[in-house]
Amino acid sequence: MRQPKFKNINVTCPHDCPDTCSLVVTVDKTTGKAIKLKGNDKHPITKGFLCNKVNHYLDLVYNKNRVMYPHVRIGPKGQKGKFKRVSWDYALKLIVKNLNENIKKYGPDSIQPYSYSGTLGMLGYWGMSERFWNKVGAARLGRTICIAAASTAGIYTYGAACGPAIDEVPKNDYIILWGTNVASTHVHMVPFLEEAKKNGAKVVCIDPRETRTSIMSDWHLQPKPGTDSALALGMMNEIVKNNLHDKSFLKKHTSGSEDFIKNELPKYTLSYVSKITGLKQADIKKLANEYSKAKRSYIRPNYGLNRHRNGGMMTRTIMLLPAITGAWKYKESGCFVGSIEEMWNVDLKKLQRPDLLKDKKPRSINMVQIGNALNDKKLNPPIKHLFVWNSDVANCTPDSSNVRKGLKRKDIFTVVHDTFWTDSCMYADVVLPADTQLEHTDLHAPYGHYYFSLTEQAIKPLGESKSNQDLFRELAKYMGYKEKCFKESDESMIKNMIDSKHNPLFKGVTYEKLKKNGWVKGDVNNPRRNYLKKGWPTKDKKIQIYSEDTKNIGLGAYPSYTEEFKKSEIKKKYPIQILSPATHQFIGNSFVPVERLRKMASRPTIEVSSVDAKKRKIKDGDLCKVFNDVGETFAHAIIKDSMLEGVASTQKQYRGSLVKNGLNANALNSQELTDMGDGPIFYTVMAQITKV
Amino acid sequence: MDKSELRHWYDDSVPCRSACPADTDIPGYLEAIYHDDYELAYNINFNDNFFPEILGRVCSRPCEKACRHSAGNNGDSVSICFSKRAAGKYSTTKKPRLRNTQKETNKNILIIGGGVAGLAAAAELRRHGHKVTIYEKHKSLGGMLNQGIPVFRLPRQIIEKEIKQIIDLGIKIKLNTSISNQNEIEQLAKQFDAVVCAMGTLKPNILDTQFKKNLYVEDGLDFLLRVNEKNEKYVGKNVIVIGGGYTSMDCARTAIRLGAKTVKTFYRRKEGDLEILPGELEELVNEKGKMIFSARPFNLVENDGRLKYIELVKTKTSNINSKLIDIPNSKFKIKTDHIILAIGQKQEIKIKNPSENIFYAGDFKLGASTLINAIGDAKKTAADVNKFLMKKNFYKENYSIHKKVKTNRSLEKNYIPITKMQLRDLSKRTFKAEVELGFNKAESKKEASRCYLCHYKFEINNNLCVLCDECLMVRPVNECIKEISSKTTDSDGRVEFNKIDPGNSHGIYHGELYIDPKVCVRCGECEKACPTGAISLTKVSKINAST
Repeated sequence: MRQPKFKNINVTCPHDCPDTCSLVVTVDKTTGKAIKLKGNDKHPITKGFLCNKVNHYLDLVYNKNRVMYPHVRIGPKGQKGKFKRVSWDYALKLIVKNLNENIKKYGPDSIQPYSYSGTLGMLGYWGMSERFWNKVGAARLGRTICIAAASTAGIYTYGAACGPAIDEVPKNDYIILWGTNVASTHVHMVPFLEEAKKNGAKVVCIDPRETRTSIMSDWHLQPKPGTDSALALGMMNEIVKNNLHDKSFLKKHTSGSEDFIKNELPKYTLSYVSKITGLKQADIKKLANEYSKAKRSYIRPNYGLNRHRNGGMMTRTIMLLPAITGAWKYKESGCFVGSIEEMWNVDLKKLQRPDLLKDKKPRSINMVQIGNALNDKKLNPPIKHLFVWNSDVANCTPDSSNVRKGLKRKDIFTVVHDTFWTDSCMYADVVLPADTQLEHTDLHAPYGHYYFSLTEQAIKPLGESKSNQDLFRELAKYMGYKEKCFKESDESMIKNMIDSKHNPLFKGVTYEKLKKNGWVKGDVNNPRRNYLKKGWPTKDKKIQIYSEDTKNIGLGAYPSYTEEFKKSEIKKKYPIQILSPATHQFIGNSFVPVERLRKMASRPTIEVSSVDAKKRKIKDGDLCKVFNDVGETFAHAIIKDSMLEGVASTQKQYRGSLVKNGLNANALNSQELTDMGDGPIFYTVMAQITKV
Repeated sequence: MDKSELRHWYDDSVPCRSACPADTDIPGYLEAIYHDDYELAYNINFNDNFFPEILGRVCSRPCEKACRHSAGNNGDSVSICFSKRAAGKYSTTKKPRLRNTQKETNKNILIIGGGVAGLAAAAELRRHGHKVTIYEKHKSLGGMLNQGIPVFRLPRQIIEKEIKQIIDLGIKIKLNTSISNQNEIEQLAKQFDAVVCAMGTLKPNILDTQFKKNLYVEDGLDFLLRVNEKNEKYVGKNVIVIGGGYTSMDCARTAIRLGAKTVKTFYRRKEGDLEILPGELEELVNEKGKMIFSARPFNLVENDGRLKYIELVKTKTSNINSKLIDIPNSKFKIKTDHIILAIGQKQEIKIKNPSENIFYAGDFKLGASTLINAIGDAKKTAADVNKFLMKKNFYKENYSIHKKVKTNRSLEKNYIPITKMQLRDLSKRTFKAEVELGFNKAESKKEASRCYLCHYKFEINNNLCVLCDECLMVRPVNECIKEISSKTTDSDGRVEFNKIDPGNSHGIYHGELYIDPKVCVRCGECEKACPTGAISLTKVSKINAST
């Protein structure tokens, strides 16, 4: 029988996006090359299509900007590209020597791992790497840079209980997209929204900017950034005033509702909320009415909300709206901020082996404040060895000039493990080649829905690239670690995560089923998840309108509105708030090496209101300097009538080396933390814009 | 889209129809054939160009040059002409129906000349409800059909059938009635409400007096007429044909069939300048005719009234003014006993300052031209006559858009190679035997399936587009979907766009996607690939007087 020339492999998109698509990769068996990559048309969320990024994934795999081989730096840190190729043996020996020296001289706290979500594979994100660092006893990294505030808000309010995923959207009558540009960052939600619309649903988009998502929606509301709690509280007050709140639901399933309604809500009058948000009173009233009268309502807030100083509270307040109306009674309805708290519930003891720490108690550095940590002369012990993987620290952290200043330190030994030559590589002593998703196997637990998926290796690693798992296996070997766990296979580690006793969602999920289909839906209807019946995973099994947790950190027990900016921060010379949301062409800093995508976003841009532009004599396309006391960046102006005066929107994590002064919008913000969760306040920044 | 935008969209999208002087609804009838509706296909043609089975054989087919297959570098054009012939062959309609007919009026119109222009004008005027009379100088109607085109290209029974269909619309005919000067026309113009002069161009161009005097030098149309109608089949042994148009081909191939030993055709210009049908030169050569370019007649060498030689001189294009000039010292002689001149014709009558109710149509107005040009012109003249008589425009340009449609085609149909026309075996090509045999049903359906059906409109609604690139990745040709930074429609309805300049623009997120109707091959792959329903399909019909 003739052997077929091609084979299809099930692969999962590794990127930091709630959709986590299922892909089918076609490999030419004679050359071992992947020749086609397409969305899996059998996956109920992927529905056979991909986003504009991943549609070009093969251009990312077969890309001349890949690191491919280990390199060491020759020449000073921070300058472009003076690197020499070395062998893995040489590189690993060098790294291990430095690790041992620093552990001996300064202790393991001087070793600082730094990683985030280049891949969100369960192994690649926090598998073998954490075992290794546990054995080393290295400092912990507080991985707070994305969802800390929102996640904490959710946990304080509902416990680790997530709402109905996006595939339930079509059954709803009223859908609010709150702080999310799904067309660019969550595109697989769009067909569900269209289906809902066909069924007669109304889709409302609440976002200070006009986006392609707001254009697709039935109604677009533009509150001032940072005022969303006020809007949510205004809605609640209106709903209660009109007696449209679900009293029996509130009594049975929430704690603190009576006090909240009596004492906290009344101050959020239409006129007060209108003043804060900039929205018309009639619109707030209409939103409250329509939302509360809809039988099945669905709110989709997203992580943009939690990038403000008051982002945790904003998320908490919005998440409580379905508790006020009782929308949680319908299993397709309520509020969905993502499913990560449940999907990522795996036995970390088994996966990461914290027992290897023995009696060490390493310190923890919040990744948001890595700049401070790198520059703090009083930090004891100082960071002497920085190991970066799965992240582009130079571009993606707040206060990036300060971060880069720290990265430039001559007395830090820095390793960067990445697929591409990122800006961070320029500060590295050793650059190690990472692979791509096609080159390894992993388990994925999406945060936009409940379908677990397995990605299988489709091609051999290119050049001498190594997966995150293999990198840390090698490091463990070179460190001389004898424990068997460092030799455990990927398959075994994955199988050990699939434990329905630990996480009810894994009921009915097996490695074999995952291998066969590529994906398996988690057991969303598991009785352990019937919160309406069993109660929520909080201390009194009720939804925490009154939260002891928020009270304990000084935010008050009840949802409230606090201003994003202190009075002292509002300066006449910096009148424009700079948002930096996700772009359409990239996912964070990934995909920049793909030519087609880079060409479609090859200059940094900033959306400016026509009012602000006119005052500053800025014309469409003009190169502008955006600056404040912290730093500056440059971007070309896109003038929009729809942009609010005093607000501008530039690109998230734009690659610094493509900007005139080498820095993106993160040059403007600070290392301060959010109200809860200790996350970053990327959007809490005021600046000035002038024409260059 | 408003009407002016639709007009531009339609002209850009359906260039075959724009190229047809008679505005034939080409995609309409090809779609009909594709769905096995030969009756509809025939009826569309009958109403737009009146002579489907005739034109389906001998039309100069300007549509095929414009066809978006060949003009867009997408392969051979669709065999639009031969498809028309198939529509005629397989239609079972006994009596084709004239559409959009108006109430009978009391207007009496005379048409002088019963060739295709006169007949087309007559039919169009009957649509308008007027009374029509045709005066024809010959003993039968048809003009160039009978007198100029040989039987082996156009069988006589086809001509008779299609002319009868026109006459049966209620037209009075007076044969053997010739009009020789403007005075006579003016007289008639007093008796009728309007007169249309469609007398064609029957006065042959001549070479100098030496050629004019010799009995063995004859004009091409005279040759064809005597051979086809009068049965006077004399032909020389070594025939020379002069000319590079349809008539020269017909004369040469007729001479071969009549038994000439050698037939050589000389054309003063180059092969690319020939005005003939695709395949004609190849068949001339297959039939053992010879074609020589860049040579023009200079002199005759006679002997006692009979021809001995023709002397020719070679020509070239001048470097200075691009005009044709003789090459010095390049004269040469060819033995001949019979010369046929197919070098064009002119009008026989000159008219100056005619009365306002006298109109012209066809070759009489345009000079010697093609059948389809004559028909198209005659339709326009009929509209002018009608406006003159009724004081209003009968036809208002309009478009209608149909939603919820399917093309019933798919991408692989775009790659079907052109269907070859079966030709009669060389050994069996007698004087009368039709050389081109026509498509059979399977062939005509296959050929019709090649048409992109460009009147289907794929459009992207950028308010629903999520820029996922799925459609861009299935494009079968470059740039059918374009990434543009802006698009404007001018006051005339013309769409202009600026393509995104990567690196120097805001990028596609702030731009839009645009399906360029001039490049789109209507494959439908983008619509299939779009996950958000942003790509819609509609069908645009252009309404003309005969819709």
